[in-house]
Amino acid sequence: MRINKLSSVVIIFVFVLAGGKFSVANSTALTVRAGIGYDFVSQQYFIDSVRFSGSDSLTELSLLEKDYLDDKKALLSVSFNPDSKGHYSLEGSWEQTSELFRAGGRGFLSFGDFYNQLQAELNVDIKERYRGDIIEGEEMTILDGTIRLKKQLADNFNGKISLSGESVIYDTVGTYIYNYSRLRSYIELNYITENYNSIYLTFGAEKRYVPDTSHLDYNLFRGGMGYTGSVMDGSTSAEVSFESKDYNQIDDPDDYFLTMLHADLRFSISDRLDLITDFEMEHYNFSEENYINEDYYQTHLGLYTVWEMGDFSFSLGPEIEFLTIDSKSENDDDYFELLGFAGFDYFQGFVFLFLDNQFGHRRYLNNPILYSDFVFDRVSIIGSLSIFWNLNLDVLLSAEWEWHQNESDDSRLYLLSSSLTYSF
Amino acid sequence: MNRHIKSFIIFLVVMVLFGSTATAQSDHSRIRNGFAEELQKTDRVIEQARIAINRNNNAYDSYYLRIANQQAEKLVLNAIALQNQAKIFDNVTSSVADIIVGEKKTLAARGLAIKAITIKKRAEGKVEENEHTILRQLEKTDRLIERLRENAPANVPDRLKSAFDTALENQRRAWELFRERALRASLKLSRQTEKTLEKLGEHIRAGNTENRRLENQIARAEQKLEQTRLEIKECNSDEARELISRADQEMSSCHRYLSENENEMARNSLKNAQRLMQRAARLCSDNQSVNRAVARLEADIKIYSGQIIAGGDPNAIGLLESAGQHLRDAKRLCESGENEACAASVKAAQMNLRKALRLTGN
Repeated sequence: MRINKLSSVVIIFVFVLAGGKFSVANSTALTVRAGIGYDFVSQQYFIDSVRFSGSDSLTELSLLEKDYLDDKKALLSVSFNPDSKGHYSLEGSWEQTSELFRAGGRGFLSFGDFYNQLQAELNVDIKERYRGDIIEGEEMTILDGTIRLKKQLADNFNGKISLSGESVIYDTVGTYIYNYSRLRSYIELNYITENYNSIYLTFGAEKRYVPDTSHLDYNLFRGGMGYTGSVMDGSTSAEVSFESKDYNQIDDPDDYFLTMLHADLRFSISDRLDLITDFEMEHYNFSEENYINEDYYQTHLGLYTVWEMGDFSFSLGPEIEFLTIDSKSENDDDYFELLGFAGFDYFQGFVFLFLDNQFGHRRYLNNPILYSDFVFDRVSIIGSLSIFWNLNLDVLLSAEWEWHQNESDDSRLYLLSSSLTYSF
Repeated sequence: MNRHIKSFIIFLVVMVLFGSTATAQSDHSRIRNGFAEELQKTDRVIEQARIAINRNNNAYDSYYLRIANQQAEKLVLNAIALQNQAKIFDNVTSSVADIIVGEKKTLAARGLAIKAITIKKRAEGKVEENEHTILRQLEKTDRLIERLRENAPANVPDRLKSAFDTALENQRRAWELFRERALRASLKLSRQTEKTLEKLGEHIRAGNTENRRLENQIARAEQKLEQTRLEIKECNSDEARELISRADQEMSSCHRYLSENENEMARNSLKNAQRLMQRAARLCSDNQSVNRAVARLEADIKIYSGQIIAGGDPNAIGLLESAGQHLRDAKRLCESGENEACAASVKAAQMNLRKALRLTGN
């Protein structure tokens, strides 16, 4: 298996490099990106653990920590993009840590102009551990391909249709890890008004196959319609969509029908000051209501002022979120969350930095069995700096803390992705 | 101390003792009631865990799912055992210390029942952090990537390329975490990636607007170039033709730079082309006006020559001849495209004619 995978990786690179070799006439066709990086994803949570020995078995509070990623990595990618309009490209990438490697290959091909185009895309990703104990579900091969047709149907009317397939194959399957394949289709119709506003309709269907357990196969349908464009003196986007999931078992209680609403509106108060409102709502309607699958509404509302000053912009505002469960239990998990959002953006030719912080409180309204009220803080930093020539430093940092009334529910999540790369 | 005071103190002591005993009793019953409530909650969770485990119990083809179900069943059995131990302390005779031990046991039993439900759901791959919500988030970010690729002119601008590539890598990592069942981390990373892409998208769109503006300017310049080309055909100026040919070259460079996303260079070429076109147009418009001046001068000389000759003033007649000579020079110069020299000759002829007319009394 490993030899086969390694052969695939070698083939990807040879293919990409050979592409570059045949395009010496265009020296910009081949781009090499090399660098180092560090990825860290860790979750910490407190949990009750129990000693069963003897009659004095007692609950103990312990801190559990799970590092999903802790990779110091070297990375190399070679991309061959001979056409300045991006009609076709090939890319091979390699990431190496002290214990595992990831190899990827991507190919893209398109025919036609911007308005009428046939596109084909193929991605291959391989992750292998070469040192240390193999963790269940860690080593995998992913094949993902898409064929897409874009067509200008009339002057202001265009359409898109795509067919995708994905196959995920694990080296070791386990309790929670099983191989699966998904076949997806998607149709989009888009009407552009004379003011360049867009009204669109979408429809998609998906089928998942789980060879190990046909019980987990499902059919999924989704659709929606929306509007993006101007309204009065501002801009807006609004969408209503649905999703229906049907597991491969008659009257499976996990089957659901989901309805989603989203609307945002942005308008200027003055030259530098904008006001943004954002509204989102989800309604899950399960085929059979029980303790685990209860119908619910989740609603989110945000109101922000954005102050733009040259390369800087500041945003500030409150957000609320509430969950309303259609439950027969008096101790359901209905909650109300109130938070303050503060953001800072800086964007200049060689550097950009986006910082934001959400600080708030979630209150459970009905004294639920499983959860307790908590205060939370979510910090996010996204930055990119072009140091000189084509040397770039990219950082993504996210941290989230939850301090619960019931200490055993406390949790923390840290996420860092950084890379220092040079392209030539 | 008199008897009244003594009686009062005894009364007070009795009241305090009675009060504290009553408070202690109410505290005890409050703790007991709280404990009873906790036991009931745990009973409910255990019941729900039982329902979850019994559902589809025999429907699994997968060995692993059966194992997961067995694990969940074991946990529920342990939860029931612990809950039964806890219930022993739900007794009128139980002390506060006993009740606290009972409470800890029932909480532990509840924790096990919750774990059983979680294992069952995770094994089915359906819930825990709402798997379908995460899948939708991942696909939403994928669609955003696709849209950005579509809307970016040819490709993502160089200055955003590195950040865009890193965002793509992070999205691939979010998918990887999803496939490894690290659902919460996957959700967080994909949301962060979406946020990065939205910000980049704002700047790519701004760049697109700038690009569209540049494309419009180029289209307008192309029209102007055609128009100027027609004009210089009429004015027949080699210098203007040369200028238009150079403007043509600049426009070709401009198109090439635009296709290579070198917008600044494209803008420079466009400016050069526009400057060259303006010079050619000015040249031709000067040519036309000077030709009109030559025609007017020729007409004036024809009109006034009889009058000047009839006046008989030799100086005036000399000036008229000189004006005629300048007119002939002007015609020759205009034909050869030497507009400035032509205009100077026209001016000299006009001055001579005016002087001649003054000498003849006009």
